Parts: sequence; structure tokens; C-alpha cells
Amino acid sequence: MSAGFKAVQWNGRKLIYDAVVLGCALTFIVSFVLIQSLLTPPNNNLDWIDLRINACGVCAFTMLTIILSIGPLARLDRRFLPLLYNRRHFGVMMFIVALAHASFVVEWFAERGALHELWQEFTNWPLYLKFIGSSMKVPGLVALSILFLLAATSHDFWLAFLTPRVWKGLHMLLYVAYGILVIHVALGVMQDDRRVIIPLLLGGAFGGVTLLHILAAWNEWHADRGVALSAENWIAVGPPDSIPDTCARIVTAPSGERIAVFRDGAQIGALTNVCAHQNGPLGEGRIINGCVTCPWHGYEYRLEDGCAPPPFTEKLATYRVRLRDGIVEVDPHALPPGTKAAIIL
Amino acid sequence: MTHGHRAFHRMIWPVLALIVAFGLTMALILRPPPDQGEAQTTQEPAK
Repeated sequence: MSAGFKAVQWNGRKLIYDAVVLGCALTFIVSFVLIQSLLTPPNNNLDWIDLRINACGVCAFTMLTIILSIGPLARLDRRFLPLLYNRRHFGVMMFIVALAHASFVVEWFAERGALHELWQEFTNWPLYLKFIGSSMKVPGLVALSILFLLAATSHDFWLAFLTPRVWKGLHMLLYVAYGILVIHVALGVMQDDRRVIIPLLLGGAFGGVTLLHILAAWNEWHADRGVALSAENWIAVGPPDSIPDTCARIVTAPSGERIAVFRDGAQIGALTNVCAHQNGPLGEGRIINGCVTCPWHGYEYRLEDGCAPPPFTEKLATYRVRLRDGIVEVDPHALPPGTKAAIIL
Repeated sequence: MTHGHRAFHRMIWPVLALIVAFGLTMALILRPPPDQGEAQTTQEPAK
């Protein structure tokens, strides 16, 4: 949590997560180079560089495909939530592998003493009017620039500086970068290598990620529908027992924003469903040690007033709740962050 | 996610899917024929 600035907020879980990702990426790259060099032994240094370009490119694309699948998978099945915990480090590692891929391309041209050809590819303006025959390096560079922007702003400093709303919107550019990378591969390796496996893997990866995101969005859209308002425009949540103890029921206000109504024994309180850290779905978390805990990164808030326990300073908007005719109701108008609003039954 | 982010997410994926599917299909259809491709690769490997 954000009591003070730290370059990287390591803990045991993050170290294990990072070690596993790093180990898998290195194993992938080394295995790729070994297998390919056995199948088609490189004849010279250029071939070795070529091999490293392909290994890092395929690894970065695979990592990005996995990263983009984690979000919707966690929305569809809670068992994937642990993968989401340190997704930002995963993303930064993917950017480093993509950067290695790009630097090997530069090395390939430098080895041939033909760096000017690389420059010409970017400055040959008529090529920009073509589709087939255009430089596939242009979409590659655009995607790499987006990945750099996202990796550079991945730290919590930028999250706080830009505000979670803007930061989250900015990081949705990753979807666009993925689409551009698919075109980069389609205009590059798919043009030279005519094996049917290339378009199948490329289309399959993109189609799979798209399907997961559309399924998750469909589920979310259903959850946003069917708001029942009382005569005084309060939202009926249900009997107190319908809210599982230490958990929440999520209702949607007419504005479209979600409200998480938690029960902790006899105490009932309502908070915004949007975590102050990365806009995670707070209502899908639990009350642990007396605090509402975000399922994404474990940020904690007191149920009675939405404030993070000291020394942390985050505050969430709360909502008035009441019990009427045995039904818990919530006022859809948010109170200022940190306002006490929970009730004891 | 906020309501705005959810709405953007709902919009972006179908649009992205259509554009990328179109681009991928065109890249596949307009590929140079094998003999021409092979001739090019023997002259100068594309990078």
C-alpha cells in the first residue's frame, strides 16, 4: 500500500511469481534456440542472430498472449486470481524480451554493415501506402513504443500520479499493441514462412484472447443489468443472510457504477466496488482481519468508513445502508470518501 | 473497473477483432506465390 515510495515493492509472493515467469521465459528461449539449431543448424553468425530474433519474438508474443488472457480468465474463474497478483512485473519482463528481439534485429543489420537499409525501411514513405510489401518493422516499432510507455508507467508512482482511472485507461492500450503485433507477424514471418501452422497459431492466439475478453465482457454486462429501486430510489439488496458472512453482494447503481455491500457478522456496510489502487473489483474480495481486502493486490479498507488502516491513506466512497422490512437497502448516491456509513443490525 | 472502463472494454475488443481479422485475412490472401517467395529468400533473407 502507499504509505511511502519504494522502487519495487517486493515480497515473498512476488519473488516466487517473478522467479517462475523468468524461469519459464528463459527455458522457452533456450529450448527454442536449441531445437531450431538442431533442426536447421546455423551456418554463420547471421543465422545465429536470426535464431535469437525468432526465439525472443515468439517468446514475447506468447508472454503477451498469456498476460492478456489472465484478466478475463480471473473474471470468469476465481482460481486464476493468483496469476493476476503480479501481472505488472510479468508485463515488464515481456517488454524486456520484446526489446531484446528488436535489438537483435538491429544487430543483424549491423553485422551486415547495412544499418542504413534499416533506416531506409522506416523512411521509404511510398512503402507506407502499401499493405503487402510494406515494412513489417513499422507496426513492430509502434507496438514496442506502446509497450515501453506501459512498462515505464507501470510503477505505483505513476498510478498515483495519473490517478487509477487515467492509468487504467492508458494501460488498455495494451489491447491495441497486441492487435498491431499480430499484423507485424502477419506482414513479416507469415509472408516468408508458408507453413500453415504460422497463421493457425497466430489466428488461434488472437482469436482465443478475443473470445475470452468478449465472454468476460458479456458476463459483466449481464451483472450490470436488472437494478431494482424502491419508491425512494434505494436499491434492494436482499435479506441480511443473503449476503455471505465476510463477503459482499454487488449491486449496480443507475449510474452504472457498482456498489459492494459487505456483511461482517452483524455489521453491514457498502463501499464502491472500485479499489483505490488499480480499480480492482473490491466486492469480489473478503473481509480478512476485520478489513475488506481487494482480491487483486490485497489492499485493505475498514468496512465502517472505507478508510485504509493506518499508516495507509487510501479512502473509498461509502454508501448509506438501511434495513427495511427485513431487506437490506443501499442508497445509490455515493458519500464523500471516508464517511462512516455502516450499520449494526 | 469503473463503468467507463467496462464500456470501453466492451467496445474495443469487437472492433479490434474485426480490424485484425481483416488484416490477417488480407495478409494471407495477398501473400506472394511460393516460387516468387522462395526466389526472394534465396537472394536476400528478409529481416
